[in-house]
Amino acid sequence: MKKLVSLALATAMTMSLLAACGGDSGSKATPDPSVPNQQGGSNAITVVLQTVGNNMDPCFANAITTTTITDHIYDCLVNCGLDFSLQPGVITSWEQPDELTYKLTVGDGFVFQNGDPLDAGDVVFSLERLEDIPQAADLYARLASVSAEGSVVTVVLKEADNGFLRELAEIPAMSKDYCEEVGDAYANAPMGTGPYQMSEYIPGEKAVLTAWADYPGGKASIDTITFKAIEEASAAYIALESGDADFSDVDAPDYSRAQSNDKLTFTQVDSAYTAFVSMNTQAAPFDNANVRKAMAYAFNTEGYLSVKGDNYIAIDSMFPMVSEYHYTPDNAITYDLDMAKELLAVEGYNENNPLTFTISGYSSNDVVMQAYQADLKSIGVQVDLVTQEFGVFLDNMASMNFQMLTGGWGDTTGNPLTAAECYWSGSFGAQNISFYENAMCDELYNTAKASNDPAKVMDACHQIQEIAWEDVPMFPTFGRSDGYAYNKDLTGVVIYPSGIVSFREAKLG
Amino acid sequence: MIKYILKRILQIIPVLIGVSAIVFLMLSFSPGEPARLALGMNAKPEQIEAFNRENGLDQPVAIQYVNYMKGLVTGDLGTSYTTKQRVSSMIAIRLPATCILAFGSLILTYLVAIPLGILLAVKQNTWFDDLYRVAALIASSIPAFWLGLLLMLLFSVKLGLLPSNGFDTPMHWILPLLCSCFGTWAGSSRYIRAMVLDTIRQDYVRTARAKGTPERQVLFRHAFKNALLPLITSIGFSIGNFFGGSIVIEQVFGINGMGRMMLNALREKDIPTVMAGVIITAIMIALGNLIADLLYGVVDPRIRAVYSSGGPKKVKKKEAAAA
Repeated sequence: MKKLVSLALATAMTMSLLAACGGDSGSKATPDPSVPNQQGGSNAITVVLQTVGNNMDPCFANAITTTTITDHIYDCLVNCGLDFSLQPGVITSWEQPDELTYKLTVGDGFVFQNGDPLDAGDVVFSLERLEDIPQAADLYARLASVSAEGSVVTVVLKEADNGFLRELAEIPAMSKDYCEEVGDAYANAPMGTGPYQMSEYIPGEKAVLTAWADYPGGKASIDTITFKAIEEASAAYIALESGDADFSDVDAPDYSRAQSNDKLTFTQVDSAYTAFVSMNTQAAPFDNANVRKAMAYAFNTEGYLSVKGDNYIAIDSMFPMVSEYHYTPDNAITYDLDMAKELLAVEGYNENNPLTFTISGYSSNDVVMQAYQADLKSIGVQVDLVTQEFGVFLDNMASMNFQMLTGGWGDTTGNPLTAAECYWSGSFGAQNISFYENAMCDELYNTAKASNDPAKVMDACHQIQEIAWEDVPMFPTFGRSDGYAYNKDLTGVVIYPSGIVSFREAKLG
Repeated sequence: MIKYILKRILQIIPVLIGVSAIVFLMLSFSPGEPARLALGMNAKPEQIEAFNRENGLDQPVAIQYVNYMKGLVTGDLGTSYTTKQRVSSMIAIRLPATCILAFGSLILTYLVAIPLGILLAVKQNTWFDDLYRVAALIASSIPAFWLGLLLMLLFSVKLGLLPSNGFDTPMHWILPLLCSCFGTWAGSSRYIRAMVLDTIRQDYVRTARAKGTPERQVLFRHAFKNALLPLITSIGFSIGNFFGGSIVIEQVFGINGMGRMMLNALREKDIPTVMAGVIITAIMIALGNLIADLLYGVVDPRIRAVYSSGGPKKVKKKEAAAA
């Protein structure tokens, strides 16, 4: 008996020790004494994200989940509306004296969370720091000079680029003094001019934001927002149902459950996500336009929707379906296996000489590609499906070491040039992942880039999409309508097509 | 005894060097470029080159490994390619949760499995034994991933008793620990049952019974005590299994532990983070085995005597022949 009691006590002590190890293990951002209710309270919400990034510098992180967090801490130089319309941010107005020069006026009343006022020098710094950030250096490379005079920042571009202003929607206004003071530690202790301050941050696990009491626009209604990482979609939804969370995105299998839960508000938002199939146009067999066309004819976009899920939508443009530039040309290819077989026969592929190739992807168990493989098999095409780690996939893609690949990407700025770059030879390995070369497309891209006439830009984008369906270096497959569910008492949540969610104006009750 | 322990601890060092060398080589020669993953697909060749130079990836693999080991000896686990944080601080954040999950699961598993195994041995071939056999088969067949979701639905959504995710307080630990132990309870209790049954048939147990020793004493003092040796071996291996096998539990319950860190680091080919995770796991497994070896001595006086003389010695051929 004595031994049993000793064993029980030893177990209890061990558990207590383990408990002591577990407490307070996070790296806390420096708390500001002026911030009330840093531990959260009744007016607090918990938001589930698939990941909480390991770096809170939004330019470095380059992920929608991180931007959802940091958008509450920073104000961006300009903003994008729900319809991708350009709206003022820290830069409240702009003018373009000539095709290369932009005069950006920095608004009054923006104050950093350490009390320093934001000035034009901070905006210049926010642009100049991009040079050292690979994920954003592309934007910096377009600038010939950046200078400030009074409250006006003058940007001179190297060449005319009508997408420049839109790209500023991804650039947060940062404090030059603070960044220089904290150095590399900035990634864990962000500070901006937004309504929320970071009060606790455990990389990979959670980020706790507290409403900044002195925010010039008035303190936000929600006192504390805890962003928490749950990678598994069903577990994230269960957290919502159990009341452990107030907001989460929802996977298609849980839609009906979320819709029928009277404690939750369920909504679906058309997203700027575009899935595609891309072919390496620089090597056989896809250096042949007829073979590429045959592949597009064999892809049963509408039919595959039944296996893809309720939240996917068939699309026929690489321009996001929520963008005004999204356009279905008359020559858009629709599913026709006979036509595919016919085109392959013209190019000499038949039962005796079957077309054989590999499709690379990074998503395991891709049911759509399995269905596509079966369709291709029915016309005598032999396909191997290869799932690669994302890093390997990127490597192979950049080095043209693939035949056909499948993937998808999102859009945060609505810049039509981003989608047009899929067919522009200046973007090999970046947007143009089929390494497609077409002089006409290049010319149209340059026209769209240089022109300030919206009709001209629209026309150029339409023509590019027509050529894209003629030559088919890559073809769009699915768009997405994302599902979100949240606590019925929560109002004022804004969900952008990019997937960024804002709780700046949210209220409880 | 202390001499033996020190000797065993020193023996861990070549194991760690071997493990680290193999893992480092595998990571270095596996496809995928760390720079591309860290910098994104828009990174220019000169940026990739600068990244490789900054992280020593432009050096031959052997030199990279030597540099890594030099840092390791001085306690420097390196800097993560993707997070730009010290790997040691990343581990400091995540290790407590994984330790609680691994050692908590270990304790809870054997706290339940030992009495259950003995009970099953006592009740051999009864309806309870038969029923448990079926239940154990079902329990060990349920994937932890699915069980986790079921536990959440029951205890968090239906009953509202426990939090569904996170690992902040002891209340948060309950579901992940239950989920982690569920399958091992079934296997371990069946294992203990078999061991107890094996010893219960020995002559010394029959003798103890013949002498009129009460059944409880026969069971615990004679049968169970002698069944402990293989059980300790099993516990020693379980430490490593629980430590390395927490990835699924961490994913399902949103726990920021070592398993998730390793998985993400592998996806991003973040070599310093993967290496640190592997080395820590290897240390845990080696220590688990060392503890098991020491426990043999606690349980068996014959082994204790060998330890006291500095550990088992190799018998020379001549001596063996003479014997």
